This record gives sequence, structure tokens and C-alpha cells, in this order.
Amino acid sequence: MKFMIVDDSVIMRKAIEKYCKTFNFDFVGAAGNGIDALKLFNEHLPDIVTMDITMPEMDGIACLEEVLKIKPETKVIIITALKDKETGLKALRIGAKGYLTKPFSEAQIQEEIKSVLGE
Amino acid sequence: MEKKLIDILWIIIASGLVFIMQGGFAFLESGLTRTKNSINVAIKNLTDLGVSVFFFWIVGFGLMFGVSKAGIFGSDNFLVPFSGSMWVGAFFLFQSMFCSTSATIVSGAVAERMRFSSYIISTAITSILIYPISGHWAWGGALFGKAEGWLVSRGFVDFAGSTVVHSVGGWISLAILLIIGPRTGRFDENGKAVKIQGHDIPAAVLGVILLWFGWFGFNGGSTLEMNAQVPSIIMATTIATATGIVATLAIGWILYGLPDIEFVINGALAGLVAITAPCHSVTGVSAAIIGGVGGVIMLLGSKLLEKLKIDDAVGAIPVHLFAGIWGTIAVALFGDPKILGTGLSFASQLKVQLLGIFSVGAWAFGVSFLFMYIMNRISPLRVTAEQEKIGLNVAEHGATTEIFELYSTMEEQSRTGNLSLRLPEEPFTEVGQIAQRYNMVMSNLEENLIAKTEYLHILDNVSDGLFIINHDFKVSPFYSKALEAIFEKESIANKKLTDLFEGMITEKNLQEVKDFLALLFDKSFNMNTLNKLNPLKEIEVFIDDNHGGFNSKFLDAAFQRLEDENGINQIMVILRDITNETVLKNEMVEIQKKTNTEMEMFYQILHIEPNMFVEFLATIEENMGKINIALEEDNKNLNDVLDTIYRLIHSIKGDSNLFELDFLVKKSHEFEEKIEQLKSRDDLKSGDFLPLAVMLSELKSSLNQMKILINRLLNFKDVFANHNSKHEELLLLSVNGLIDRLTKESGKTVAFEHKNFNIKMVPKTIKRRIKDIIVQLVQNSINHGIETPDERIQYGKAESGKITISSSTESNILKLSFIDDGRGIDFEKLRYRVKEKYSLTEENTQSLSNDQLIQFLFSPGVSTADVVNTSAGRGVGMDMIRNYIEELGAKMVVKTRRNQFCEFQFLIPLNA
Amino acid sequence: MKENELREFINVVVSYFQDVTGETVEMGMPYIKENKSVILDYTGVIGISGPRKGAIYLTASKVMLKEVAAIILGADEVDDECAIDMVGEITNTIAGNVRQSFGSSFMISVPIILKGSPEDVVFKLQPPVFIIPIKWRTFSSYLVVGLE
Repeated sequence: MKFMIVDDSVIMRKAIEKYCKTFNFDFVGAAGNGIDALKLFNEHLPDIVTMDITMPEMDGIACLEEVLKIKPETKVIIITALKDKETGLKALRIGAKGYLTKPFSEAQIQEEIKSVLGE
Repeated sequence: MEKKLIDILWIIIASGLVFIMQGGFAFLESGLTRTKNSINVAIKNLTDLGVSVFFFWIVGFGLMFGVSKAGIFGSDNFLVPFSGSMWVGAFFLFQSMFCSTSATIVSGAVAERMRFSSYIISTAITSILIYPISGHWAWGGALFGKAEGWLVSRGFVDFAGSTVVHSVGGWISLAILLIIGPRTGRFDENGKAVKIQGHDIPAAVLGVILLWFGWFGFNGGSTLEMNAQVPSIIMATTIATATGIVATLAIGWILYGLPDIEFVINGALAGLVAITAPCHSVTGVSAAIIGGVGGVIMLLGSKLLEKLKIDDAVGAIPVHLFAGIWGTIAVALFGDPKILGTGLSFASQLKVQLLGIFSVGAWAFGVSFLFMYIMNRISPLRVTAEQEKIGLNVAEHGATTEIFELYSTMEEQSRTGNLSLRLPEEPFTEVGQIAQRYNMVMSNLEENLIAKTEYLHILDNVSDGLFIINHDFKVSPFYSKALEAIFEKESIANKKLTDLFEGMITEKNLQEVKDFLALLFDKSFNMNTLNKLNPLKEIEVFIDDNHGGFNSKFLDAAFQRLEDENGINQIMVILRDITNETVLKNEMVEIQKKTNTEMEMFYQILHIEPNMFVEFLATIEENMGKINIALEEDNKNLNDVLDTIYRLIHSIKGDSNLFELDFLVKKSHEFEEKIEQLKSRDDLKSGDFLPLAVMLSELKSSLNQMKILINRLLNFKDVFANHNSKHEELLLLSVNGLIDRLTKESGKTVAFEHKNFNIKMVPKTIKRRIKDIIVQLVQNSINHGIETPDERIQYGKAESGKITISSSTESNILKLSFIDDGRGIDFEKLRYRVKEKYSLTEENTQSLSNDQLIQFLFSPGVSTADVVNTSAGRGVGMDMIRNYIEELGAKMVVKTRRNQFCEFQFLIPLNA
Repeated sequence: MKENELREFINVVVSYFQDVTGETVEMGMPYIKENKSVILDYTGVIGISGPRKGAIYLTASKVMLKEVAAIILGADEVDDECAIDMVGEITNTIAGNVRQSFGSSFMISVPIILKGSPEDVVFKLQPPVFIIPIKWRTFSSYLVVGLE
């Protein structure tokens, strides 16, 4: 399974990569903003993507829509700093399949990935 | 008439065959109608046989075949005598069967809604009057082997009775149908025909076959002798029937898309009726055509009737009337003139056939319509709607069948919901077997019902809201009673969950709920993920109290998907009222939060002596109150109001500074800046004071927090009252503290001398003012007056500056003195500042005396400071002092020498 | 309570009177409610709940309301019913505006009209309570806001 990370924080990107090692995904790369994210996505067409919705200078929802337009079967897990459920529900209605709030632990992101993969 | 024995034999056999047609009609009509009327139809058929033969014997035969009177009707042979001639007997037998046939045609058309008694009467009239008279016109004289009826004497040919028997039956049916109307439900509210299916098609088919068989006699026997024609007549009959079937089936299938049973049944009959008139005079091919066309005419006739909204229960009119008319016309079209023996040309023959059709039609339709219409007025021909619904078996004859018993009991059960009813189980009957199994089902159901009752019992008593929703978010009818208490609504069943929450939660939350529920039903989303986004988890809901406000509750909903092989069709919801727990929890959180902020504040005020602090709070509160009053008073002169407020805030700031309460100092400073902003405006409006009110509220809020804190920490309520005596020490302490701080900040050193200062006996309010004044003066001195140690040394002064306060009382006047040994007042700088502030000319400024300048020093906005900081610089402190003085009704004297000292003396009256 | 929020409410009331009478309407100096309540003849109350709780009300004298109503109706004299209607109208307008700006995240009650001096209105107001005089002709009406 090809795996991609979108997050504007270097530390976050590294952390997620580390936490997800246990899944033995084929890690295709990480992007720090919407434009790069779409470029990277188009290149590799990953199966799983974690996407930080609350990055500044990017409309996370719009990026999500674009990604799903390119490859609708992508399993996107959105990550948000907002406590507000409104954005989360909206994202799921658009087609994201997973949901995490920041801050999250290693166990939490692993569990969410398992859920999204249907285990 | 001379007839051979074999002819008589043939006539009798033919009569038997026609007799069998009655059985055919019985099966046909009963099979094409519904079970609930089957007995009624059968009885009608048997009855009309008896009735018609009876009246035909008494009157009808005579009118039809008696000696003709003007070719219109017969006049003898009533109560037909048999004893004499075997010919008359046989002939009567044969003809009576024909009469019965004509009569029985009617029973099918009017089935399922005509009253039995009315039907008998119509049969009687048919056989007494209608049939015999028109029959006389076409066949009168046949008893004598002559042509006496007026139609037959004109050459009208109807061999076996297409017109005489069949169309007459059709006309009478039509007349009655127009009066009694269609069966209930036959035409829907748009006028479209609704098919009423017969209950026993096999019986109907058997009926047709019997009729076909019987028709061999009907047509074959009409020769009235055994001759060479008989076989060909029967063959023509058979062929016409066959083509009737085939043509109707073919055309019907094409036109309507399926092979309806009725095409076959009525197609056959139409062929039979059509060939009846010409059967003796046509070739096989002609017979085929006649039969086929007859079928098609029947088909189209059926549709016509439907369009005209005439309800013929078995299609008797299309078969007997329309096909009968066709058959009669076919005589002219296909009949071999030699055989017909009328000597007429083709056209004339056709004309006389038509004449016959119309005259018989007018007679049969006219008379029956008249009679039936009148009879209907006297006593309705039709049963009531209720009777029609129950079915004529029961309504007219009180006849039930076993299966009817079954139906009745089942109906009662469904009506009353009484599951304990059981059916009578007649052993060895098919219905009994059905009843037995039915009873077993009922017992099982009753058991389940008991289980259901228990479930319902649980639902009634469980303390949380428990319910199920479907794809449309509708609540299913069985939910726990507690749910009604939670929503404070009744009758929740089948309401949408989202509608129930509408008006109870914010629009934003409602949208979240809608989104969430949609996701729940989508299998592609994992429940773990969704549970994180549950908007109804510990949510506050609001119920309008009809009083301009809301009562709030806290609810928590947990969702469980109910899956089966088809996917997620339902979701189970547990909705709990968690108000009590939440309120407690929130209170604890609030307390915790408060404690945290309080701890911070606590650390800041920890170093302050409690009594002093209480005093300080009182002062600040008083000042805030004054600010609020200033706002409330709504003075027209807005600038004055600004000034007043500024002074008060400045005082608060000063006090806060005194106690090193940085958060308060900061807030006051911001307040001051806001006021500055407003002051610089030309077009000041009262509306602009809004931000000040808001900031005041924030200050008050801080004040309240401090009050609560101090109250709790020290359990002090009375200290507010009893701190008077300590005042002076407090004052000195705080001034000391102030001096310490200011000197540290500025790097200067100042000594504080106060041994001659004693204001113990002075009233509280005055004390406060004095304190305010001293604080201002101290700030002023240290910030502007006293020089840095270096500077002082330069001037030959001691490194440390000195501030001295002293007091004395003389005849109710308190004399207060404040001296610092600093720079003294710099009049030049002052002059310059005044010029700037008031935009005076150089001349005017120069002309000001020192005394006047000092006046200016005490007006707002004038300061000789170069920089504004939290302590001083805005030139307000002195202005405040002027206010205090005014307030106290005191006098002030200023003495100063440049670079040496500055003294302020106050004369304060003590009994003001 | 933020200043801009207060401004919005004030503007609604001021605009209402201005639009309806065509005369100048002024906001008086706002202050904070201490102990005494400000209640005139008729009062329209709106309850607010949700993330922040409290209430807003507008109170005015019967005479003022009747004069305003008279202008609208183009009549010389109007009856007391009109005064009640008037305060209801304005309160509804405020409520509508509140709904629009705060809207989906809040619960906004159906406004109720009170006559005279009802005690229970004051309990719903969350301190600090701002009293804002709104002046027209010689009258002062008061917009009172007590919202967290």
C-alpha cells in the first residue's frame, strides 16, 4: 500500500512516518502544503493519505476534494487541531474515511489507520 | 304438420342438447363472476329455466306461434296442450328451450348486483311478452309450416335465432344495465375500467364447451326435421366457432399484448352466435369468415362498452347482441339465395335483414327499458352497496359456504385484533384442514405476542431513551417511555430524529447531527472513526420556557448499527439525560479554573498586607462606582465626562501601582490610552463612550475576583468596617513601598521623612483624599522633581533626595505640608508647554506671571515631563490634585526655588 | 461581551427608530448596571443560550412608543395596543439581527413582551450588564444587554 503524508510541520511529518512504520507501507513522500500535496499525489497516486486540514494557507477541504477527484478510492485520514466537529463531519461527507484530532499518540494514529483499512 | 318419427326424435335430441346449454350458461356465468356471488348466479340460471318455461307454456308459446293476428302476435295455443299432437309437444319442447336461452343470457350481464326478485320478474316479462312477440314477427307460423309473422313474410331470415334469441337477450340486458349501473369498483375514479377476475375459469371453460356442444342442437335442430342439411349446419357451426376463437385470440393478442382467457371464451361464443342465423345457407369458407368477424366484432364491442362505462359482467352484450346483429346481416351477405328462398335481391335481402334487426331491437329494448324503469321506481332493481360488498350469496340467499365461514372469522379477527379466536376445524374437509393450520399459526402468534408484551414492558420501564431509527431517520413506533420525558414531547413514533432536535439545539449542531446520521448508515465508514465525531455526545439542549428564555439539559446519545445481510438498515440509539452529572462536572471544572486564576492573583497580592489590601479594594471600588455614575449622569459636556473618568482611572492606576498589581495597572493604562484617543477627537459623541463601558466592566470583573479571593482567603467581612485606625500607618507603609519601587526603577535614592505627620483623627474620606494627594505628589517628585544622584552631586546636594511630609491642626483646619528637595518647578519649561497646549502667542506667553503659570500646572494635560510612562507624564496628576482640593474645599500654596525645593501646602477644613 | 457585538445591537435599535421616524436618534452614554434595574412601561426580552448565555431587552415608555407608532400610522392618536406592538416589532427586529450574526451556534428565544416592572427579567441577564440609553425627541429608551 502506498502511503503519503501532508502536514506543514516537519516534526509532525517525521513523527507520522515513524508511527506508521509498523504497517510496512510503501512511503512515497510527504508534502508541506496543498500545491505540493497535489503534485505528489498525482505522481504516485497513493492508497492512503494523512492530511492535516488545519494547515495555514491551504483550504484542507478543497485539497481533500481534489485528491478524491483524482483517485476516489483513496483512503484519506484527516487530522485537525479544531475541537469543532463540524469540519470533521463535513470532510467525511466529502469522502474522507478517517479522523484524528491533534495532539494524538502513536497508538491513536495506528488504531485509526487500522479502522480505516477495515480491520 | 306431418312429421316422421325420426324428425321428432331429432327434435327431441336437439332439445336435449339445447337444454344442456343451460348447464353451459350456469358454469360460464358462475365461473366468470366472484365467489361471493357464485351461488346467486347458479340459482338464477336454474330459476330462469323454470320461470321461463313455465310462462312460455302458459302464454309465451301462444303469442309466438299461435294463429297470427296481423302478423304481430299469435292468438291461441295458450297453456300448450300436449296430448293431441306429438309434433306440437316436440316443437314446444324445442322452442321453450330457445326461450329459456334468451332469458338466461340476461342473468350473466346483470350478475353480482341485480336483486333476485327483480331478476325473476324480468325473466317473466321476457318470456311472457318480449321474446314471444318479436319471435312471432320472425318465426310466427312455423308451427303450421307457414310464414305468418310480418317480418318473415317480408323475407326476413333468421335460421336459428341470432336475432330472435340472442340479440333479444342482448337488448334486454342492455336496457337493464343502463338502469342498474356498473358494479362497485368496476370503474375507478378516473373512469378507467378495472378488471374483475372470475373465480373459476376452468368452470367457465367447461361452460363454453357445453354451450358449443349444445349449439349442435340449437342450430342443427332448427331444421325441425332430420334432413341432409343437418350435418352441414353442424359443421358450419363448428367452423365458425373455431375461427371465432382463432381470430379473437390473434387480434386480441396483437391489440392488447396478451392472450386473455376471455378472448378465447367469448370468441368462441361470438362465433356461435354469429353463425346461428346463416348456418343453413353458407359454405364452409363463409362460415369461417362469419365466425372470425363475429369474434372481432365482439372484441371491439367489449371495448366500446368499457368506454361507455357500461358494465357487462360476462360480455353477454358483445357476444349475443353485437355478434347476433352481425350474424343476421351475414345472412344477406353470405347466404345462398336459393337456400334462403325469399326470392329477394341481394340489396333487398340486406334491407329486410336490417329492418328485422332494428324493429326487434326497438321492441325488445324499448319494452324492457320501459318495464324495468318503472319497476326500478317502485322497487330498486339493484341491491344495496352493503349487500353488493358482502356478496349476493349471503345477502340474497343467506347461503354460505365453508370457506365463507373461514373468511368471516378471519375478518373478525383482523378487525378486533382478538388473537384468541379459533376457526371451527371440520375434519376431513379441505377447508377444515386450512382452519387447522390457521389455528396453529394463531397460537404461535399469540405466544409471540406475549413475548412482545414483555418487551413493551421493558420499554416502558427502562430509564433511558431507547429507540431505533431507519434510513430516513424516522423513529420506529416502539420506543422507551423515558424518551418522551427527555424530549418533553409525546407521540414520537415515525417522527424524524432531526425534526425532534430542531428548536432544541443550535442550527450548527443540527446540521452536524444530519451529517453524522447520514454517515452512520454508510457502511464504508468505520464506527470507531464516527464515534469521535458524534455531535450528540454530551450535548447541551435547550427547551423554550415560554418566558423569553430557555431551560437547558445535557443529553448523551450512543449509536449502534443494526446490520443484516442487506446492509445497515437500522440504528439503535440510547439517549441519556446526563444533566445532573454534567452540571456537577462543570461546576468542578469552573471551580478548578477559578482556582487557577485565583492562584495567580494570589501570588501577586500575597505580599500586600491584608488590611491595606481591603482598603485598596474599597478605594478602587469607590472610584469605579464614580466612573459608572459619571457615565450614567450623561452630562452634556462630554469632554468633562472624559476628564472625570480619566482622573478616576488614573487614581486607580496609581493605587494599583502602589501595590504592584501589574495586571490591574496594565488594564488601567489601556483604559487611559482609550480615553486619550477619544480626547483627540473633534466630534465626540456619547456613543463613543461604549468601549469605556466595556473596559470598565472588565475592570469590575477583576475587582470582583479579587474581592472573592480576599474574602475567602482571609475570612474577612468586618475588616471593611474596622480598619480606620490603621489608616495612617497603612498610608505611610504604602508610600514607603511606592517610593521604594519608583526609586529602584529610576535609579534614584530618596529618603522619606514623616515624623511630624499625624492624621489619626481626620475623617475617613478626607484621609483617603490626603493619601491620594500624597501619592500623586510622591510620584511627581520622584519622576520629575528629584534628580539622579549624579545630577544632585553636581549641584552640590546630598546624593539622596528627601521627601518630607508633616501635618498640624489649628482650629479645625488641617495643615498639610509636602516638601521635596528636588529641582523645583521649571518655569521656563512650563511656559513653553503652556504655549504649546493652548496655542498662545509668544507675547501672551511671555506676559504670564509665575503665579499664573502655576495655575496652569494644575490644569489637565500640562506636564513638564518629556516621556509618558506608567507612573507619570500625562500631566494629569496635578490636575487631580486640583480636583481633590476643590472637593475638600481646601486651599493650596506652592513654594518653590529652582534646583532647591518644591513645597506644597494644603489647608484643609475638617468640618466640611 | 465584546464592543463590536454591543455596537451591532445598538445599531439595530438606532437604525430602527431612525428609519421609522426619519428623525435623529442618538445613543446616550452607556454604563454598567449596579443594583437598580431599568424597566420602563413596556419591555421586549430575548433570551440567548448556547456557548454563551444571557439576555437582551429593550425597554421604553408607553408615551414614546405611542408617538413612534403614531408616526408610522400617520395618525394623531394611537391606543395602548400599538405601544405593545411597537416594542414587539423592535424586539423582533433585534432578535432577527442577533440570529443573523450569531445565528447557527446559538439558541435564540422567541421574544416576549412584558408590561410594567417584572422581577424575573433581571435574573436572566448575565453580569456585566450594559445599559445603553437610546434617545429620540425628549425620550430615552434603554437597550440592556447582559450576555456572557
